[in-house]
Amino acid sequence: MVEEEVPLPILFHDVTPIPQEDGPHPVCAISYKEDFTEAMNYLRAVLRANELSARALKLTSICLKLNPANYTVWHFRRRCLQNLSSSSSTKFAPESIQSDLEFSSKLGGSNPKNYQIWYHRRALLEPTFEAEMIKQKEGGEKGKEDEDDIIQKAKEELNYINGVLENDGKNYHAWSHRQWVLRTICFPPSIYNSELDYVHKLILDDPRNNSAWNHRWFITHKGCTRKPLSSLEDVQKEITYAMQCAEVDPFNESPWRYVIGFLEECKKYSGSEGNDVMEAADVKSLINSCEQEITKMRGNLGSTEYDVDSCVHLTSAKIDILEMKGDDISLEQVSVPILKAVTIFFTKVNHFQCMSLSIHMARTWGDWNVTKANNFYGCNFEYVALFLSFYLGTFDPS
Amino acid sequence: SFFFFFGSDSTNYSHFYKCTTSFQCISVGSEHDMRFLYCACAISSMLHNWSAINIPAATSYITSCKSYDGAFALIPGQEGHGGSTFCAVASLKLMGQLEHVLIRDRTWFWSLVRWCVARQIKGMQGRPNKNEDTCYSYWIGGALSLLLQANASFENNSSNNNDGEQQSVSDHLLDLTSLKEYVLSCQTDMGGFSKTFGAAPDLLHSFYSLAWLSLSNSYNHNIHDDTDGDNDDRDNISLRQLDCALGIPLDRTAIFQKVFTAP
Repeated sequence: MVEEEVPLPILFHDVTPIPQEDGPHPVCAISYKEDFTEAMNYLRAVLRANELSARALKLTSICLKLNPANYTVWHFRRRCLQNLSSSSSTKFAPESIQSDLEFSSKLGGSNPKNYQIWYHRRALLEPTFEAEMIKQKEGGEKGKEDEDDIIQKAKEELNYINGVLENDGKNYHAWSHRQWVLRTICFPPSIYNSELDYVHKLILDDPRNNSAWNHRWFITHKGCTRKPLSSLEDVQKEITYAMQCAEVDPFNESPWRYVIGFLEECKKYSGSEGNDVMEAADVKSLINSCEQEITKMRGNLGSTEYDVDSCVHLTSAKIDILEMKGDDISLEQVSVPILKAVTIFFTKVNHFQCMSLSIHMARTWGDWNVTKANNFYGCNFEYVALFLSFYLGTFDPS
Repeated sequence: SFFFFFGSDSTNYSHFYKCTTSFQCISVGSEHDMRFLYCACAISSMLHNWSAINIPAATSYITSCKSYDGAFALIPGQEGHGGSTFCAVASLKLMGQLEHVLIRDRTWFWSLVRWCVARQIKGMQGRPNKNEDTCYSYWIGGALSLLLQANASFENNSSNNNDGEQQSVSDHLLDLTSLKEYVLSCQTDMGGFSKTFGAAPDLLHSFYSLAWLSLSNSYNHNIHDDTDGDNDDRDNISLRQLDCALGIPLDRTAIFQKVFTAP
């Protein structure tokens, strides 16, 4: 059905438009186009009159097409929808939700990073999603049919997000919205596997998609990202998965962050109360096996055209692991790759200077003090790193 | 009087955990995330009035936004990001919680510093494996600057050994020359700075490029021990010094102090 474009002065024949008040001497006045000015003048009028009508709704569509970032207009639009809704004044009618999701999708297409459009989707869905969840929790009678309906809508929303991620797999808004859907809806447990499959496909397509890795962390932690996994086996599985990816391309930062993230989490929670799955001994052997994997990878890389020590993230992970082990021998071992990397790879020298200082700190924290470190290296370790970076500054890296 | 709007995601009925309170930008109908928490802290700081912010709750929200790689996300559970990392670090600094939360946690502190440093390609990226973008020079460069400044004070306060030798941590861990080159290369013929080389300029990237260039002026006096006093000025670009956490000139923050504190 094609709507006729009724000119605004006719649609709002009984309304006096209100011009924007910029004061007598506006600083940096924007030269708005005529159609923008006209639409916003009428909007100000209906806002002031608090007219939550169908024509006001239509007006918001016009204004939002002109400027989809105007959050006042979005909020007013939602108030219109609620007022026009046949159900309660705080919820939206199902038809409104559907049509406005379509409206948002249309606007969202060329504005995939617009906060207000993503929020509008959430604002539309939130009342029904959450009401249904409350009902379920309270053992509501309506039960299965409504539940399936909600889950279907949620899956459609996930599907919409899939489409956006296909265009840009790292769209932060899309991933935030996805997390919101997953946190809000009580999906059947099969959602874990389907999300894992989805994120695996994305990682296969682009192993450097850090957002996908983050989502994998979210899923494996079932959205409880600050609590550790409850099964050592699951942790091992994730670490193996990431290490395999790192092996294919050790220069890819993402899987390394993932591995170190898991190891740090295990170490932090091992032996702590309420977590009797993660024994300190198990964590230690996890760390050791990762170290062995890395050593093997360094060996493999060494036999290629790539300079092992220039593989920052691989070396960085090794250093992280040695730090985690924390014993004197491991800490001493750290200095070798650092100093070597410093001399070889200029643009990353500050990265490693940073690393060397962190070891300095780790030693201080672990009851080694600067004096001991100095005695060991025969000079102030910090200044060695500092000197090298300064010295290399006069080098032509090419 | 003024007040900030706490938004809260309602309670959890799903298998997935939910985040807790945060800030939103208007009284109703807005998303809530780290950006608005930072705005709230900045405003409170400028007004010298913290009555509208529950500092422990805000601090707790910030900590809950820590990602597995040590950086801060916009919301709990999301990916570590340069923009939200700056907002988090700056907010903690403004609330006076930076040392307690981050600096004392040496493991986290260094992993965050390393994360920031690893964002440098030539210019800065906002997340691992993303493209360079001039605004991240400030988000990341600024976060680093705040972290390292706080660390320097922490070290000075807590070191009581080493024969009075000052354990100063070098406060430029970025390859400043490359970063400066990149930012300056993003200036356009029509003026302003763009996000990437060759793109069209915009206000946001112009501001944050200039802001970082101003910040970078303070780095120049470190490595080069000046026997030759000219070194400092030659590399500096003439820009006003900023309050890093607020991103406004120092002389302006002095005015806020004067206006909003009781005589």
